[in-house]
Amino acid sequence: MKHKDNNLYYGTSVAQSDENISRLVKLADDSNKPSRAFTESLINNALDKLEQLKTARKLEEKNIIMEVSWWEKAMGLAAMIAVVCLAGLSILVSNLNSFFAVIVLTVMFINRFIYLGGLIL
Amino acid sequence: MSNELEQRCWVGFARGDSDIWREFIGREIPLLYGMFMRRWPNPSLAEELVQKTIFDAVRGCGSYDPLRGSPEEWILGIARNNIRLEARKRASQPSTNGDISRYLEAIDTRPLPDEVLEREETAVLARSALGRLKSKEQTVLRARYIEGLPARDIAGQMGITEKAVHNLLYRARISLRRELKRTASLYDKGQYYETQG
Repeated sequence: MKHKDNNLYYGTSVAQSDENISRLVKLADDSNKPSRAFTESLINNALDKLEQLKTARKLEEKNIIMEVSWWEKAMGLAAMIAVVCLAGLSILVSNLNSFFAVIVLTVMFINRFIYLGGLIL
Repeated sequence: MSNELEQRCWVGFARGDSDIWREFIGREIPLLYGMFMRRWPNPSLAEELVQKTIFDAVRGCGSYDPLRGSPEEWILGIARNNIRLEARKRASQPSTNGDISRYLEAIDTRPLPDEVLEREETAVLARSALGRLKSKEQTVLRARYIEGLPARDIAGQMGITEKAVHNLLYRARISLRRELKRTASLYDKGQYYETQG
């Protein structure tokens, strides 16, 4: 355990010393420009980050498109049912002669009025 | 660059176009570095602040509005904000007083405070100590820390093996530390300029 601790201390000490030496040697440099290695590494890292952010943003946009509220879902379902009912009705009406078709439609409208009337009252 | 072309570039910039950003970052790094160095003459801190500014800009890329100004003005605003933050951080820390040799004694255990690194005498001492090392030691330290080269590239430049580079670096660090402590103690005793003739 003690040995491990000593190693840890040694590692930290070497890292600290290296960091301080690095900062002091940089001070000895007269140039007022950053090193090429620093510039290249920073450009590459920044562009990687930019790509990551762009990918994340695209995924987020996709999620926004998929996320719909409950009333939009209800409206969609109602529209789907209405389309199916109308299709069924048109098939039924086309198979009847015009007299029966008028009777069927009139009965349906009357039923709807009675139903709506009941809802209002 | 015509105004229209400039505007198109700015829109590409706001969208995060990689080519435009590569050119932009490459152009801005030396300008930002110079700006931070003028404020605090400390290359390590300047690098740190340049890095922070560039990453702040990348993260805030979506918030850039071409109608409000050029990308250069925008990133300078971010840099100025980082200077304000750094100044505020320093104001809240205790000031560093005392002889430089005291800080150099703790070089292996504690980070050298930025205020100490920014003293003119520290740069003079660092230059003087580095100048007293053997030519090979100076070369390897400059290549590693100033040019930021990896051991393999240094080995290629110096015509030695990678292992030899590591050994040389190790010896150079010890020599530099010894020279720094010696020069700093002379400086504190007021004998530094006498030895310089």
